[in-house]
Amino acid sequence: MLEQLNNQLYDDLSHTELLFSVFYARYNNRTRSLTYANAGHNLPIVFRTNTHNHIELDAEGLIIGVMPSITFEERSIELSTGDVIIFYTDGFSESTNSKGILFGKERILSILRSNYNTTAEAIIDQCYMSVEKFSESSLLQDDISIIIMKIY
Amino acid sequence: MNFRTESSKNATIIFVQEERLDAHNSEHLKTEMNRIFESGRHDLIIDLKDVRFIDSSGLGVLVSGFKNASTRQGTLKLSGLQTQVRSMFELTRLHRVFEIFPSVDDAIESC
Amino acid sequence: MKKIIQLQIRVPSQTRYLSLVGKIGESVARDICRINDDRDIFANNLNAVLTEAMVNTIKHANSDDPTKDIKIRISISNKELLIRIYDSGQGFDLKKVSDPSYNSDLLAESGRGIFIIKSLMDTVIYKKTACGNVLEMKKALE
Repeated sequence: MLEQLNNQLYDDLSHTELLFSVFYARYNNRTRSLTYANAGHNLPIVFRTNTHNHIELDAEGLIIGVMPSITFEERSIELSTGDVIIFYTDGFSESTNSKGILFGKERILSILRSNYNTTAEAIIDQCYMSVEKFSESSLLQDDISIIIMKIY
Repeated sequence: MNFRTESSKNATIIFVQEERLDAHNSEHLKTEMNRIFESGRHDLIIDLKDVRFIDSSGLGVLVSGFKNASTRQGTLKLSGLQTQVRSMFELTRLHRVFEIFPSVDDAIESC
Repeated sequence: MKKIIQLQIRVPSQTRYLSLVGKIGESVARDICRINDDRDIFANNLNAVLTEAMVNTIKHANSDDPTKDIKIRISISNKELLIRIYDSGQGFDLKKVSDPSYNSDLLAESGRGIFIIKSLMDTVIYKKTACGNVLEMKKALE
């Protein structure tokens, strides 16, 4: 799918300096398997409830618009009950406060560690509250999109 | 800056023969890339096998070469990235923009 | 056993000295770092932070004036890495030196320097001193 997207959009994008990134994932409810491919997007994090470890999901490929034809790798991962996956844009991890410090992946991980056993909605609320509090009166430099997926 | 330029049938290769590609020498690479583009050759491979360290200026010059190549319907590929150089590309997400090959021969084959 | 290494380096405000300072940073990092795998990464990161900070000082703070000096203080203990870079120039606005942290600027030809420093260090502050300014960068160590 990413290959088709790139093929279709390459001509338009090559006249501009715009590129865009896509992370595409499909979840099979029955097998609990998440299949995914990545076109230059920042990596979603899977937080494993049973071990409290985390993995970042990555697969081979380039960002959309860079080449007329790109081959993307497809990978999959098995999920278990209690696992929390966060998909986010870099506007989130790269928010800065008035001292110029980045919000960063570590803060995102600590939100997951402290909130993994609440609902997905509660986790998202916590993400937005944290980043708003962190950036104080700083203007947000980039928009933030967050998706939380929780496996029951 | 020390470098060696070679032409293969499909591409022009610049072998960067320096340990560091940084603010002090990156402009020389830019000048050489522009010279090649202006001579009508649009497909470039930059081999970084000898480079142990790259800074934001080095990255910037490679990006500028990449954009120049694209404008001329050409390509700019990279080869021979050492571990720490590769890390800088990953930190700045440029590993998802450039086609990166383990060796120059791999890059030449892909042209 | 407490171990603190402190270095003070003074070089002209010119890019030809990036390599020297970078190498000094790598040596210090390799000395301090116990674990082999991490050693190369830590050395590269310290090299990168010193290089990027110096370039910013040379170009922006000291306005490319080669007759100026840069003073660097590196302090490493078990707990913290502290780097201070002093300039005697006009200074620069840390926020204005842009960082291409989102995709629309991924192909920007400049601006990655400060982003790299912010990604590798915990805090980055630029403030005035009695005779100029200081770029202060800290990272907590284990």
